[in-house]
Amino acid sequence: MVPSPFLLVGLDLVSLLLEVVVAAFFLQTWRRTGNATHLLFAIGFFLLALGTGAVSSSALDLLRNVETWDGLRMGGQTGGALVLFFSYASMRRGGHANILRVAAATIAFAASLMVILYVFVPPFLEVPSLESMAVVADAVQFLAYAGCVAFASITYRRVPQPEYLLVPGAFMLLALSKYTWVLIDLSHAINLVGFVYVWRILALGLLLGALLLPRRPRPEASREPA
Amino acid sequence: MSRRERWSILGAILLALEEELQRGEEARLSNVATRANLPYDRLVAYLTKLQAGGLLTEDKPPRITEKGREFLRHYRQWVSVLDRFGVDQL
Repeated sequence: MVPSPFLLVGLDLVSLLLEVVVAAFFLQTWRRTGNATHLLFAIGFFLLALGTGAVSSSALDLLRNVETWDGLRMGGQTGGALVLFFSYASMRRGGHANILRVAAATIAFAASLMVILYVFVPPFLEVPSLESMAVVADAVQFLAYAGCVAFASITYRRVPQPEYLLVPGAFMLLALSKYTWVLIDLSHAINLVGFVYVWRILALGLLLGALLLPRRPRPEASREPA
Repeated sequence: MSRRERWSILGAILLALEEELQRGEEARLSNVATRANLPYDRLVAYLTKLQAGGLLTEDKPPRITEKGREFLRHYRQWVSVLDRFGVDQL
């Protein structure tokens, strides 16, 4: 059964609101700390919100050019997922997230992907169709979120407390939502769309929980000397 | 091993000072340096910055001001959130 379009638009707006709240939290924290990690997470979640906003706007038909909105959706959501993934990767590599390194990696990866699609996907040497780009974009997002699960679960692996499962769980649900999209893209099983929304809303709920839960004493295992 | 960022070091010093003051005895800066995992000379330099920023009083040993307590409250929340996100850099 396919949920009604009005319900889906409503759920998109709820997602948009939650993503903006998460992004605003990190932006506000960055203004106080100047920490690059906070800024990169803010950018990542704002890009996701941009993508979700494009979905809602497309459904409301504000611009009457669905291709533009779809491009914006794919760009925002893929960009957001890549920024989050490369932020983690940058932290693991250098100890700190490096904004320039993350921006360069995201742009280089996206550009390489476009070139590969342009050269190798029929019709060759032409701008690929939105349909073929959507499959690749969803697959890339799935892989990026799966990577985020591995990175985000590091605290839980050291200190197995339930609160440290919130964020890995959220990224796992986001990966699941993208995996479901890939299935929909390939099989046109539109009746799976409802699941995408369930995974996404649950994921954002977990992220919000991670931000708003009262703090607990910090695990000693993660302290490092200056 | 990663290098800590400035806000993280300032938070660790305030936290160490608070713990030291809660022990009821007079806070010893050498203990604060140990708790904050900093060399003594760097601790002194940071204490001067914290006093200039109004987060510590000019007393000897310094005490945490209301502004300092506010920073400490936020610092604890930021660290909690980053730990939940698996950001293990601090």
